[in-house]
Amino acid sequence: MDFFSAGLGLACLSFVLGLAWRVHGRPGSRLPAAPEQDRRKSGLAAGLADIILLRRTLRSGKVRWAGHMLLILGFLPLLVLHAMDGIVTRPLFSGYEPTLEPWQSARNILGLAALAGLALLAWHRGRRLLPLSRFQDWALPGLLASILLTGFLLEAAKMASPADFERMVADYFPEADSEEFLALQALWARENGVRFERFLPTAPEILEHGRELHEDRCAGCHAPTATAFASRALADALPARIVLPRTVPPIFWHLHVGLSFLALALLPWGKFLHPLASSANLVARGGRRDSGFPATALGRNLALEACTRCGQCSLHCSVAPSRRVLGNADILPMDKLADLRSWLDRSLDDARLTDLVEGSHVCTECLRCTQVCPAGIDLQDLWMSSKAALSEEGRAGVDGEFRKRTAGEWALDLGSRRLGGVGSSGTGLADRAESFWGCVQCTTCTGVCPVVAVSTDPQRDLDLTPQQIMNYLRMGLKAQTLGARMVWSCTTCYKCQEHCPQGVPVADILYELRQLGARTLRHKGKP
Amino acid sequence: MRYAYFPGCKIAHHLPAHGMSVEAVCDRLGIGLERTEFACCGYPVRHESQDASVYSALRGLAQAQSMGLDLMTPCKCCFGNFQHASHQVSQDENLKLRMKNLLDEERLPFPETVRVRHLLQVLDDSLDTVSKAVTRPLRNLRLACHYGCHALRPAAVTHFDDPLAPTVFERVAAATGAVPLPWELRLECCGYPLRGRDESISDLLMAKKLSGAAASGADVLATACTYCQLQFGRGGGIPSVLFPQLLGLALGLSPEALGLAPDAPWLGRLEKE
Amino acid sequence: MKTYDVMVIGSGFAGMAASLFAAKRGLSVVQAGGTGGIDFSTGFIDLMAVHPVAEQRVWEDPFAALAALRKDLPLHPYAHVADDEIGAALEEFTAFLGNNGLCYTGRPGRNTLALTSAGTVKPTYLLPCSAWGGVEALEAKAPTLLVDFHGLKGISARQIAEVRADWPGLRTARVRFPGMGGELYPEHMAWSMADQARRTELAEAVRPLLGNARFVGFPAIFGMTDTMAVVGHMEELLGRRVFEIPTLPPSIAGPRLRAAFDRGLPALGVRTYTQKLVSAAEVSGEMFHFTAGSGSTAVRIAARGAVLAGGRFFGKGLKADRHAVREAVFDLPVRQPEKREDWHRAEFFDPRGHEINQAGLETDAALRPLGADGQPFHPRLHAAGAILAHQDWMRMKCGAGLAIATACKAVRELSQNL
Repeated sequence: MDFFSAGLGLACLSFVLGLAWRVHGRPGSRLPAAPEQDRRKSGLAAGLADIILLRRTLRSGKVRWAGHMLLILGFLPLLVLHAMDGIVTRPLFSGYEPTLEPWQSARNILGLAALAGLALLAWHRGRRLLPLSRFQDWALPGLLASILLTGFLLEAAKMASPADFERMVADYFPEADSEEFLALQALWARENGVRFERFLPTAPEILEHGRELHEDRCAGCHAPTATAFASRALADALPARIVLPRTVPPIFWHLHVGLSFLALALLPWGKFLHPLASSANLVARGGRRDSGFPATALGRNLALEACTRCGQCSLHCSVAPSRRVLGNADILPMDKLADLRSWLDRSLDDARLTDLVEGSHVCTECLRCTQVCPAGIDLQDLWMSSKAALSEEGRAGVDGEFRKRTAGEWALDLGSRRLGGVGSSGTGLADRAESFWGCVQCTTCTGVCPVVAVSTDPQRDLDLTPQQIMNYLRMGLKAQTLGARMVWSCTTCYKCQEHCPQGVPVADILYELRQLGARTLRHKGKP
Repeated sequence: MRYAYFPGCKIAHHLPAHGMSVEAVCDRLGIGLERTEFACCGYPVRHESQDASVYSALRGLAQAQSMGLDLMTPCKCCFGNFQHASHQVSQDENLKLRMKNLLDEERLPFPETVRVRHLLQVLDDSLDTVSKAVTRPLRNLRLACHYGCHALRPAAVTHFDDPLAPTVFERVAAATGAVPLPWELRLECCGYPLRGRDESISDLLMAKKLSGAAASGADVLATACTYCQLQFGRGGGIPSVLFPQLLGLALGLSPEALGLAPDAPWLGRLEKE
Repeated sequence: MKTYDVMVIGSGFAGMAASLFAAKRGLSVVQAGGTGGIDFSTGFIDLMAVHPVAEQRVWEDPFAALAALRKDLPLHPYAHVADDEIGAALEEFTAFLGNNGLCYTGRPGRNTLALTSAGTVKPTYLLPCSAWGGVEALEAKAPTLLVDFHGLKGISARQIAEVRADWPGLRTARVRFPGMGGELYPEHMAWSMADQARRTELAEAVRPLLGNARFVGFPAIFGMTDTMAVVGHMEELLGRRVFEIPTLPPSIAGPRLRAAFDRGLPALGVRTYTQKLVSAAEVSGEMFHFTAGSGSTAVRIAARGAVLAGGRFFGKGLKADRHAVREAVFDLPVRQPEKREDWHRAEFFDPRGHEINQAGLETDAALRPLGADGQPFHPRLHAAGAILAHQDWMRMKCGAGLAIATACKAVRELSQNL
């Protein structure tokens, strides 16, 4: 078994297995079930248009659109017509040889276009997406670029390689005598960029002779190498005295082919799959830019795989300011989606799960990421269904955590800790004596509270009433209040603060307690 | 009059009819709405972090100030949080400094001059224009106007109307020709803030309001906040309608243009044109 | 900025009365104030009942008491208001309350002894109609059942019965309040009484205990608005006369009054700035400029005349530090004991009361507060209510009546100068 067959076989195996693993039905089962929806046939055309014209990508930026278009228009034909020429091009075009025109110039044009596209995308990522980028975001364009570059280098090396020339003559013109050989050499050195060790004559009659022989023996399969203009430029750029050892072209060949197989093998992993997965998702979405909540399990599977990590969602996210303050990357959609996938795979560690839960709850479901996503992912549906799924599994955010234990249990736990001051400055209202100087425990705040009003037993339902909480706080007993249901079931209507005859900021203080609770949970276990 | 238009996060997916009706009404009344990409006002995150909430709000205000416009929002929670943020930075120098630093990093000015208005206030400011623009007075329609909480209280921060005896909503509603009725629970909370936190109390608060409104004899409960409408839209009994939709009808716009189902029963109370 | 005829500073009895009277006379009125004192009201409207305070002599005829008062204490604010004006003011005030869902009653020219939650009786002039049954029961010593509730603090039927040993027909019972458990709060109980089903449940719980009682007394929880409808229904259900006893403050009497004002005053065109305290005042010859509230939400108000009815310490009309009492808006001179040590007598329950309770603003006959020179501070600034000096409203049992009467006089005098 040779390198090519082994490599291709392994790469295909990796691709198939990886793809199977990637799309086997795991995510949908953990999100709340959605009924089957009717397939929108009318959307198919819109979905295809989204793919072919990259309409959504265009909406999110011209640079990204141009980069993608160049890359796709360059790379896809290379993939089909060059990499798969044995099964595609050769049967379709009789007399095909990769060294003939238009294939040589086509390869070079397409290769350059693809490289230009990659350059644009890399420039864009470096300028706008640097903080959001991880290894795989550079690895994919890097791998593609290296395939293209090694391709050019391979072609250039083959052009310049004397060993290849000798091999070709041995195969196709074995009967050449030394004079003919010299003439052919001279021609190829002059016109096709081969770098021979010895100095070759340039006399017109020798070149003419060479040309005749070339026409007779070579031209049937070889267009002038100058048509492969980019590779030729590389070959010509070799310093004058350098002669490529015979090992060089094979090295580049193994690199070029090996990297291509690597790309095929890696296709199911991370964002490498997005050309296939995002296209599938775009078809499924049928051009819709709003949310189809609740989506079907299949729709959700496609959505979860389709992320290209382009970062547009995170750039436009409505709660990005909260991300800046709280520092949790999972507040932004791109990273939240990745961690959501991991959670659904049951491969998310607890610390990241906490981040995911916070991100889930900070999200305001504003629909913007869904509208912006170039891959057409129905993010809104994922956020809304995952919020419910996380709650079902007992991860319902700060509020849910506090409700898991009684007020007394929290008092015992927190009473032994240094809670720190309330308010972000640590000098909030609840820690200041002046806030409570006016409190005469008149119970007006409790009397106007609508939450107390609908409770049939405030002690049982709420643990403490507002004026009782004020009483604890003016004695400095924050820990005793943090777990009280009243704090977490306050509906923030501000009637207490408005009606207090003595100006005690009851509702503001309850907010501070919730903020302190959130901060305490965030730092639990961390120094 | 032009405003920086701040719809708030909940309109796009959860209540697009609110955005539709606000924009339609403002267009008809000549109230200019400038749009830009705003982030969340910071109201929901206030439970978790004061800094995140205040920064979110100040950022929005800074954007409006950069546009040279006052900010107008149809959501009372957004309105309230903007006012809270301004108030909090005026009380806490350390907070103000932290916010200035965050805004500097985004090359945004610290908002000093921008005013925040709720849609009802904007309408109240030009009540004559509204009255004159009414082509189809909602004469037989009795309204229970729901004030909700976050714009109204605490008045020392929000400066919206008298917190115990407010009149702006009824005044503006009357300009449409409709009949606002007095009802005792009009200033009580709708209960939406407890959705996802304490569903049973949220349900109880909602039910109380709806039955109070129904008992007043009103045909319709009128809301002027995205959250309040989302809450009452769940309940049964008296139909809950956004005030911009009512106003739009009075201005002669079609139910479809306002996101209303044309076969809503209460529409039958209106005089045929 | 609109210029109003009258700025009313204060949202208690005096402020509300001033706004009412001014609006009724066609003046444009703006009012600012907080819920300081009124939330702690018992709901009774006292006119004049105890004089001299040191002897704790209780008068049956408030107008006779007034006559004696004016003779003995010529500096008392009542000296500036005539009886007929007092009577008319009270009528107009209670009519307003009646129109806004709060029914009041009393005996013209006679004080009434009303039952308190401590079991004592206090003389008062006008009572909520929902409490009148208690008066009748008390006077007739009729067989009566007093009901209180598990978990409701601020009233004890048993204590009332023990204190009123002179009323053998008084029985007590404690029941569960329908639909509520644990600690109870009067305001929430009152709101729940708006529900017919609740009332029926309550009647079911009480009926077996009625025995031969002709009257049934409850803590004041019968609805926040339209109390008489709720009481009427209870009477129907129980087949007995039903009455309310106000709980210890803050009872729902205060919120009921507030709600009536909040309903009725804006309807008369009064511009209200509730929960905003007047923080500054500038005076020129023609105009007052007030700042109400503080910080970014402060409002500027311009008015031609003003009635200062800010109340005393709890109402924030007067401010005391450890050394002196100051008036909060204009910094008017406050009549007060010369020395700090003289503020209080040695015994808290000294029947003469304490000198500090009589501190306040001194005025001319038109109720205009005096400046440092002993002359009215401003021709169109008047004062009314508890902020006035030379009165001890708690011990004299003259609080609400004084507030309403002086407000009426102040507005009348002011309107003549506008």
